[in-house]
Amino acid sequence: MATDVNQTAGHDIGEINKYDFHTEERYVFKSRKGLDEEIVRQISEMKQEPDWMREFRLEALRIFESKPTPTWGGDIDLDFQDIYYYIKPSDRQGRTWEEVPEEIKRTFDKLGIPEAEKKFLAGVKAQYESEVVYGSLREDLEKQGVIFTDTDTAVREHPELVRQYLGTVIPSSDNKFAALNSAVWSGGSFIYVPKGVKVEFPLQAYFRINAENMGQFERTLIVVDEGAQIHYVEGCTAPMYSTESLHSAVVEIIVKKHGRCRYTTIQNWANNIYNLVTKRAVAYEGAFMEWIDGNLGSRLTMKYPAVYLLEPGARGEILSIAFASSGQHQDAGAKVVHCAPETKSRIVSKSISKNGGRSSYRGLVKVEHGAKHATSNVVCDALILDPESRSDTYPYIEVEERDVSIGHEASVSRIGEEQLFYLMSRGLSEPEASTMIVNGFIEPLVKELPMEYAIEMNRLIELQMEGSVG
Amino acid sequence: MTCQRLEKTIMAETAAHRGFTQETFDAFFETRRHEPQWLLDQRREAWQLFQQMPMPSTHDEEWRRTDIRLFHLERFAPPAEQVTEPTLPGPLLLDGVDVGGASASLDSVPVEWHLEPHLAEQGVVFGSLDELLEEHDALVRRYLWRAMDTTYDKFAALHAACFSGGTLLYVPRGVVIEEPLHVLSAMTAGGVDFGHLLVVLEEGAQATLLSETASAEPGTGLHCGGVELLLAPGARLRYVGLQNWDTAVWHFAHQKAVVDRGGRIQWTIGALGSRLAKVNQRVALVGEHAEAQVNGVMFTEGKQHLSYHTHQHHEAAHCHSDLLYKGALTERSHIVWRGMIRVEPGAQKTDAYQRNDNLMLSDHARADSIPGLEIEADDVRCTHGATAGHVDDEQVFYAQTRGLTRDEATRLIVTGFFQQVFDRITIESVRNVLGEAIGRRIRRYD
Repeated sequence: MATDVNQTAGHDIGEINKYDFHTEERYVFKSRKGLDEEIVRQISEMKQEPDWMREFRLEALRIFESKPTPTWGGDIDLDFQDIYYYIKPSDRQGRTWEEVPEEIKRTFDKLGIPEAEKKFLAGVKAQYESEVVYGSLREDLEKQGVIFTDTDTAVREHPELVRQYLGTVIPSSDNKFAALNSAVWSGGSFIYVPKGVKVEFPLQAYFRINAENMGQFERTLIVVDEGAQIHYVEGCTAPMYSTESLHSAVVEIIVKKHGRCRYTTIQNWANNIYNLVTKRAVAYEGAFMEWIDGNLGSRLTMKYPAVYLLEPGARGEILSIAFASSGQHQDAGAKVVHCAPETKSRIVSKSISKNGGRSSYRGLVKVEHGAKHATSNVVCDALILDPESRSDTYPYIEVEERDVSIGHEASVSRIGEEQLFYLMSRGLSEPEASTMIVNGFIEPLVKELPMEYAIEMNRLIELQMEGSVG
Repeated sequence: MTCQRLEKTIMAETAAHRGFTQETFDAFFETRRHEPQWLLDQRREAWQLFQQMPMPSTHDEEWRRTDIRLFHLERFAPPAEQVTEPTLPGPLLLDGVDVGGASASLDSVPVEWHLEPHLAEQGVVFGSLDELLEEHDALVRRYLWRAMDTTYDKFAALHAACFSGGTLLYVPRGVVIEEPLHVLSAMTAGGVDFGHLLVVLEEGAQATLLSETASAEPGTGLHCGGVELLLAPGARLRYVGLQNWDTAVWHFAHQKAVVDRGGRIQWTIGALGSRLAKVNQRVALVGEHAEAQVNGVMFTEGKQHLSYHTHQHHEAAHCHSDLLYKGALTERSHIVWRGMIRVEPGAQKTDAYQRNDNLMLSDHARADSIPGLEIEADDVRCTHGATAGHVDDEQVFYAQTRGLTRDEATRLIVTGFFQQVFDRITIESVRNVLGEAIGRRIRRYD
C-alpha cells in the first residue's frame, strides 16, 4: 500500500521539525465540521454507547453552550463550528503493531513509540485523531488485575467502574472546555490499579493529531486503589497547518488511601494547536499525587494540573515547565487545595520565554478551614531571553486556617552575563553557554523524568535554543 | 452607648433626601456653583458616567473576593454644604510632632487649616482644596486627575463627581519642607467623606505628609476617596496614610503616585479600620532612576474585610520599587492583598520586589494573597514572596519558660512580626502610633 508522508515546509519559528509531518488522510469515518446535538448523537451512535453515556454527553453539550468563553488567561480565537469533532482513523484497535494500518504505524514509528515500548514501558496506548489505534499491556500486570484500556472500551467492558468515577473529579459544569470534552470525548486512557499492586514501569499514552482543523478530546480516568502505585506518561504532537486545531482533554485521577500516582506530560503540539486541558486529581489519606507537566508546543496552552488533598496526610507535588517561543503563549500553572489536616504540597514552576513568546504561571494554593498543619511551598522562576518576550506570574494564595505554613517565592530574570562570560571563557560558544544555563535552570524538573524522556527533553531544549543569543 | 449609636445610625440612614439620585446630586451641584466652569463640567461628566456604570459585583475579577451586596449606597448622600458643631477626633499622628501645617475636614467639609508663614513665603501652597481652588485655579486644573483614572469604576466616577473637603499641597521647585504636614479627614455616624488629596512636588522639592482618616464617633459611614501624588524629577515625598475608620465604615479609595526621573517616594499605609475596605494603591515610575518604597501594615478584627490592590508600574528603565505588606488577622476578619508588578517593554534594568506576609491569629480568619508579575523586558530583576503563618506554640512556650505570660508572649511575637516593616518607617511618631494601635488590639483580643 502506497503511503504519503509529507514533510510540510519548515516554519521559521524555531519549533521542532521532527514532528512536523502529516500523513495522507484515509479515515473510516469523518464527521462533518461543527458542533450540535446531531454530531453528539452521531458520535455516541458510532461508539454504540449505552443510553446513560449519550445523556451525559447531551447534558454536557447544553452546559457548553450556556457558558461563555473565558476572557482571562490567553486569547482564544476559535470558531467552534469550524472544527471536525470526530475522526475515526481505523475500524479496529491493534494489539500488535502489525495490526495497525500501515500509514498510521509509520507515523508512530517516526515518533519512536514501538521502540520505547520495547525498552522500558509496561503498556502503551496510541491515539490517532479521535480513536486509540494501538494498545498493549504486559501480561503479568493484566493477571494482577490492572486495567489499561482506552476509555471507550472501558465504557463497554467496565461500565460499573466508569459510571462510578467518570465526572466525579471534574464535572461537566466545571468549565466550558470540560463541558466540551464531556460532550464529544473520544479515546483517552482508562487505568485501574487494584489494591496493593505496584506497577514499576511506566504506562504510556501517545496522542497524535494528523488532520487539519481537528479537535482531539481524549478523556482519561485513572483510579489508583489503596496502596497501589502507577506512573503514567503522555506525549503529544501534531504537524503544523496554517489553521488552528484544538486539543481539549479532561484527565481525572483518584488516588486512594496510601496510593501513589505520578503523571508525566510532555506536550509538544505544533504551534497552531489550542491546548485547553483540565487535569485534576483527588488524593485520600496518606496518598501521594505528582504532576510533572512539560509544555513546549502549542499556540496557546491553558492548563493548571490540580490536586485536592481530601484526607489527612495526603501529599501533592506539581512540577511545571513551560517554554514559549515566537507566537506561543504558555498559560500553565498548578492548583492545590488543602481540605484536611497534615496535608503537604509543593509546586515548582520553571518557565522560559524567547523570541517574543509569553509564558505565564497561574496558580492557586488554598487552605480550607480546618486543614490544620497544612504546609505548602511554591517556587516560580522565570527566564526571559530577549526584550521581545514576556513573563507573567499570577499565584493565588487563600488561607482560611490559622495553623499553617505557606510560602511562595517567584523571580524573573535573564541569563546572567557573568555566568555566560564564565562559560565562554571555558571555550563554549554563546549559544552553547546559553543552552547549558537553560538546561541547568530546568534541571530540577528534568531529573524527575524517566531517563529516555530526560534525554529527549534536553534535546528539545537544545533545538528550541538553536540560534538564540542569551 | 450601643443604643445611642444604633439610634444615630438609624436616624442617619433613614433621613430624607438620601441616596445618590439626580435630585441629591443637583442639590450638591448647586452648592458648588462658585467653582470654575471646567470643574463643574468635569463633575457633570463624571456624574453621567457614575450613573451609567454598573455597581461592581463578585462577577468582576477584581471584586470576586470582596462582596459588597450588604452595602447600600442609597443610605448615604453627597456631602452637605456645612456641618454643625464640628467635633474632630484627636489626631494620633501628631504626638510629639511639630508640624509645618495642618488641614482638617469633617464629613467632607473643610473645618480648619493653617500653614507656617515661612513655608507660605517660599511659595508652598497647603490647605483645603475647596478653599484654595479660587486662587489656584490654573494649578489645580493642570494637575487634577493626572494620576487617578476617574473612569476606572463606579466609585472612581462618583468620587470625581462629588469630591469635596480635600487637601492641596504644592511645593515649588527646590523647596525642602522639614516639618511634616498633617491632614485629618473625619466623619460622623452616617456621614460621608469624599476627600481628595492632591500633592504636587516640583523638581527637587521635598515634603513629608501625614494623613489620617478617623471616625469622630462610632457608627457607619461612607468614604469614597481619591489620592494623587505627583513627583517631578528629583522630588522626594514621604507619605503616610493611616486609615482608622470605625469598623462600621465602608471605605473605597483610588490612590496613585506618579514619580518622574530620579524622584523618590516612601509610601506607608496603616490599615486598621473600616468594615469593608477596597483600595487601589498604585505607583507609576515614569522617569529613569525613580524609586518607590511601599509599606503596608494591616491589623484586622471582628468581621472586617480589607482588600488592598497594589500596582507597581515600571514604565521607564533603571527604576526601583520595593513593596512590603504585612497583615495580622484576628477573629473572623478577612484580608485580601493583590499586588502586581508590571514592567513595560523597554523598562530595562528594572529592580522590583513585592512581599506579603500574613500572620493568622485565629482559626476563623482568612487571608488571600495574590502577588503578580507581568514583565515585558528581559534585563530585569523582579521577585516576589508571600507567606502565611501562625504564632508558633514552641516560641510561646520558650517565652513562657523565660517568665512571660502567654498573652505577653503572643504580643511579643506579633510585634516582632511587624518589626520588619516598622524598621522601614523612618518617622518615629508613625512607628509609635502603629505599634500602639496594634498593641491595643492584641491586648483586647488575645
